[in-house]
Amino acid sequence: MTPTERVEAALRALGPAAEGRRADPWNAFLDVDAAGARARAQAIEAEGPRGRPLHGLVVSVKDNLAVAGRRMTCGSRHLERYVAPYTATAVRRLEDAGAILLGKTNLDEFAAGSSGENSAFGPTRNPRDPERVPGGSSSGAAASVAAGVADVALGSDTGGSVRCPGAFCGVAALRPTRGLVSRHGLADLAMSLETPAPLARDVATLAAALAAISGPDPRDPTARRTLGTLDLAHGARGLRVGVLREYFEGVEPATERAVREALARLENAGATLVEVSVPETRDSLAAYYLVNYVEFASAMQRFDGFRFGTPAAAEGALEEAVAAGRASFGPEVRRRILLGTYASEQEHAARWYTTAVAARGRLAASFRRALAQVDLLAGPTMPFRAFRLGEKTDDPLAMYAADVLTVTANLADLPAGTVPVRAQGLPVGLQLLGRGGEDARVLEAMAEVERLEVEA
Amino acid sequence: MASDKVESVSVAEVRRLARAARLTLAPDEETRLARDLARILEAFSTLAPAEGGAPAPAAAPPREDLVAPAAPETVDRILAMVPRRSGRHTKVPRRGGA
Repeated sequence: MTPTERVEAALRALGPAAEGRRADPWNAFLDVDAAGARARAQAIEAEGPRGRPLHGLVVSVKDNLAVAGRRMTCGSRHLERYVAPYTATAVRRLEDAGAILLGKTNLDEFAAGSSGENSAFGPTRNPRDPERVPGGSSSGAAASVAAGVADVALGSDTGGSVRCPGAFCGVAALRPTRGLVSRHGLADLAMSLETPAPLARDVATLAAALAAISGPDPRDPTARRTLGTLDLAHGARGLRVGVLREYFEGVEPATERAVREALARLENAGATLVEVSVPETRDSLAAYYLVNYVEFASAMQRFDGFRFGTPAAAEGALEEAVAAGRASFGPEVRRRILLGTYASEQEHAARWYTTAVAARGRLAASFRRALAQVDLLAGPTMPFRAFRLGEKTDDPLAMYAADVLTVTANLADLPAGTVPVRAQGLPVGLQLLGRGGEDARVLEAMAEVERLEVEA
Repeated sequence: MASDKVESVSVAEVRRLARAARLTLAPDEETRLARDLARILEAFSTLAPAEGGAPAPAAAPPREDLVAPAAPETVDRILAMVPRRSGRHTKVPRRGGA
């Protein structure tokens, strides 16, 4: 397909949403730039590929990443009228690599959610079953790829925010090591955990996208890593894979079966599987959420209606005006702000925040030890498949439990990818975790899993 | 490791936290959040405390927090990243109704 044909196919799939008249069938997009995408397609078609690795591919961008001149809502009413003054480095690099930006995608408000149901602009639906959640917080990103609208989606991953929706929607996604992708232009709300992260229709496209957006950036001093050499035809021979025992505890049988069958195929292709135990994994959910709450509550202070957000119409003291301006925050955002405020107060910090930081350190050390014995660690991405819309919205702990297998990568800062495996009915993702900085090794193994699954 | 202490968060405490966090809560929301916070903290109280209490302080004390002029080249490098500027001042969109 030519770039113009790709864009027209994407716009047809979106229906009236392409012209901004109403939501697309999955509520995946919050803003579609049809005219801009058409113009860009024509321009790059005239220029030719010029060796650009993403020439003519259609991309979507999560609405917590800045695109100059476009709205950037973070899924919140509070930022409904905010227009980004500049473009995030990762987005600019996608365009430099020849991609065509189609629009901004839906997300849980301020990336606080695991299902895609917390957006102020309505829940996203899973293209594989519209009665089920797509996963979050990069809900629209995964839906845009699963629906065949976008070839690549740029999301962000704080505790599994691309891997969860990737697994639920059946697309490939990778949480890079921090410092590989610039966070410039990301509305970062948990700065020790979060990084921009790509999703794509297949692993080769995912790898091309990551290669395009990675590398040092003077606008983000933490972005210092490079991807290094990548051989997607590397295969499984000689690969030592640690199968994480704790990652199968409490996992639904259909998910466990699909993941173990995929691992058996990897073993038949030449990989060596060894069982690995990291008991500290059982502390990961508590450690993750306590760290997240505190960082989130701190970062959310800038959304006060003055620095960012909707100014309050209320008269009176400054504090009252700020509180009135923040009245639009949704329930999960308010819950996290309160918990973060509580856990970081002087009288509570030692019991909650400091304990969580210490647990995070123990967990990271244990994962480093485990990864000294093997090349990669493996397990399911999610403990269950996509659940029904509304099934967990009244129970925050049940919702948090969905993240139990993904948060460890963020706490220990490991590259972690999800790749769809053969399963009956709803999609299942196999998760692979590598040593910090060895993102290329994770992609290579993901490519082999994908090849074996297609051939199976 | 399970905790033997049941966490409790009162409505008054939620109200105090909301004031500190600059949030306005409706009365029914205060009640619901008190229940949510207690339940979540109870679930997370299984987290084992750091051995010997809080982590030991760093071997070297943090440096003194002193105000010092930035090197001119640093200022220029930062200003070069500003999307819109006027001389050595940044330009931002007008905010509010004024």
